[in-house]
Amino acid sequence: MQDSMSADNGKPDGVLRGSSIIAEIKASRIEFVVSLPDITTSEGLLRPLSQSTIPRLIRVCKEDEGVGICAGLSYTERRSLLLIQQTGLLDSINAVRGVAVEYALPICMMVGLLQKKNPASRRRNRDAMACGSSSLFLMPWGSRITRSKRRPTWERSNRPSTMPMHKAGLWCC
Amino acid sequence: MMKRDECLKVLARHITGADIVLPVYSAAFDWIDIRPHPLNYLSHGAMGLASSHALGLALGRPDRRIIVLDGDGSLLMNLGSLVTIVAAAPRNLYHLVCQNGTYEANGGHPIPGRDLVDFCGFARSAGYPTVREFSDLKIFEQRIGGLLSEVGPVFVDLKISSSGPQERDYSRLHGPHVRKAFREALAAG
Repeated sequence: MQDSMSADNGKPDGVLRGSSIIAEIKASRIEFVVSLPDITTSEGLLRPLSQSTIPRLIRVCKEDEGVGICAGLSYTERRSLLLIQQTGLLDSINAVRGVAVEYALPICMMVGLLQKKNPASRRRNRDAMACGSSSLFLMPWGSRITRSKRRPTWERSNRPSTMPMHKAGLWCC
Repeated sequence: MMKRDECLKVLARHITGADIVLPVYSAAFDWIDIRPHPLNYLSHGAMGLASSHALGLALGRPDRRIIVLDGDGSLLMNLGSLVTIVAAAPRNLYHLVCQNGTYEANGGHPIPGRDLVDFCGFARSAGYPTVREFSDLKIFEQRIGGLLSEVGPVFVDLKISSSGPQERDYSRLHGPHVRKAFREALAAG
């Protein structure tokens, strides 16, 4: 996973950093991050987010709770981000279907993918989430994290979106 | 034991035009007949999530009271939400559970442990600062107004029996017009 931001801390160009993502989360006016810890995003994203007051971190016990919380927030015009791991996404499929998809709510999920060394295993993981590599970086509200080529389409979207992340893309964190 | 519709009629007298109410399943069908209002939040999408939707609303609109009328079977599906709610500490969230011991909307089968489960115990253990249980309608009538003026989160267990047969037209809960009306009413105020 790459973006166009410059390197810092000696990390090479083109690597998406936790600090970059947090900057974009703030730039996207996300006020609440609803989360369960995920090993992929734990240090680079969740740890620093937990140490700041904006956005406010809401810790949940199970990921589908987070879908409901983000849904409620969406009606109040407050932006939120559901930061979870892939197993939590899969466990929450009924909530994603019933709440986010059926009601077409702008629920944004940032999903850490467990690192699998076996390419076939990685592919099965993505297939299970109906998430091919071509649809990886969806995010509503036009964050610069998204690939610029498709950004105009996403900016217009108020549909639920997922944003899986490879650990490899966060090794700077 | 209180009949659910009688209990909800009492509650309705304490609900203002600014309050948001989230009733689920059988309570929802009773509620929308007792108090039809655009600020009834009826589309929960997945069983058990009403309290989570309520927390989102409570965080997003701290200026309004958020009253969730949960079911016992529904809450059992999302017990962790009790802990999450207490941790988030919304001062405007009132979590009422209609405990009839059954999955009434799904054939009336008993919930697991129906004679053992202690919802107030769950709430106390999760850390709710205010926890009450009612099984007598007159006492509920005397106390509910005061409870709704306390600082939340507040947890109330209502020992109820069914209101009787219902016509369950789920489009009244999940239809897009319901959400549109809610969104517009909330945005207006």
